[in-house]
Amino acid sequence: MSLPLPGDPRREVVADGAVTLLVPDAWETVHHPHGGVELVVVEPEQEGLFRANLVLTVTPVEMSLRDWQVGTESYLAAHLADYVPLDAERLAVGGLPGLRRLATYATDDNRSVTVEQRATVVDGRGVTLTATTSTLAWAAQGELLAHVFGSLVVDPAAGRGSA
Amino acid sequence: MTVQFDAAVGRVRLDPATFDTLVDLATDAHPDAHPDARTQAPADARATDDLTATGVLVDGHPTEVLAPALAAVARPLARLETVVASRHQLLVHQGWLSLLSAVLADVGDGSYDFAGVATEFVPTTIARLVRLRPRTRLGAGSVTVTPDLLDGLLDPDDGRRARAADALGTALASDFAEAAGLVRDGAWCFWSAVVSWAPPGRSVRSDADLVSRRVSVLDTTAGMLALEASGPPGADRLSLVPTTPTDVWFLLSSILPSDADLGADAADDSAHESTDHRGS
Repeated sequence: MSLPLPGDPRREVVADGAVTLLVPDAWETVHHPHGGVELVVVEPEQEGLFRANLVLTVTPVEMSLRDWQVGTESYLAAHLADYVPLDAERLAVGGLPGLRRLATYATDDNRSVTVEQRATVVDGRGVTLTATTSTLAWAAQGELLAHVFGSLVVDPAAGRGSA
Repeated sequence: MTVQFDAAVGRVRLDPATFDTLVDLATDAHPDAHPDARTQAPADARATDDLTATGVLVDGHPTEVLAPALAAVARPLARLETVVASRHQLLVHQGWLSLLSAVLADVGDGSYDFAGVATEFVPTTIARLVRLRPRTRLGAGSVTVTPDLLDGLLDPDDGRRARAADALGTALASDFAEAAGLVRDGAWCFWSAVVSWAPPGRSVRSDADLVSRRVSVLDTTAGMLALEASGPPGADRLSLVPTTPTDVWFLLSSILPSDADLGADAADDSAHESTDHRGS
């Protein structure tokens, strides 16, 4: 597969091989910036514009996907300014039963962003891939983000010790 | 009604006559105001007194808190109209898009909330006004609708809206049985958001000369349907087809005019850049 601009895809393998995905090669990558966050990938700087970014987290989850995501939704609504949940649906995430949500909120510096998130639970670990873009750039970046989400693979047999 | 002004958030609740008075006072003070911005309403002493008593007017002029929003009304780059119809209500919200935009939201009891909104939050504002939210997906299908039926759904008269909804329910029944039942029971919302602006380099004599983007949706708890042109070019046939909140958000987040839409003349306007953040 290929990604549209801004460049060729680069395969990232994280969580001891449990999760792989393709990200834009030109985007800046930070591995393990802090606990639970496996990967942060950020769009190159463009003056004055919000930098789109991808965040992959793998955290212990000792509940069902549904209960986990109900709690996540409550957390997002309580902690994000001007939060508006826009869409939610069940769908395969990385080849496993999962959930997708779409929402918008205001950042700390009062920028409107749109966040798309896909999450699944495997062997007591919750895998979440979050893409955040400027709201007015979201439609233009939709194809790129669809490729990133479509490339996500979660391997239940790998990386059991990483969470 | 009594004017209510929340200076902390820059929002004022008022009636249409009081809003007209406020706009005229602001327009008179704005040297670059668009000639159509002034409402031509007669001076309203009661409105002026109410605006003064609540701090909206200071020494006869609109407070600085509302200045950016009133500047958008006086000199908009584009206009927004969002109409939200349901069995019991018809709400008509207005917006003026510029460096900072302004929205006059219909509260539904004869009063309106006027406030400034950063232009990049206009899609969020529309989403809140139309209550865009997660919805069940409808199966495949399509229903042809007539302009008369759509006019009926947006009619100010409750009875006419109810009759239009009955007709729509019948039309939906074959492809979307659950949604049809909800529409017939009155559990429906039909909304339309339109952003329009003057085409660059062409004079505007009426609204028909404006360029616009429109999103129209029938919303039920069983799912959403978008209004689309269908059939061969020039056929002017309209259909309701299944859509999703994601697809609707795609359209709303793209509804603002770009720099190119507004033309080179607008590019000289320092207010112009704020309406186009889609270059990334």
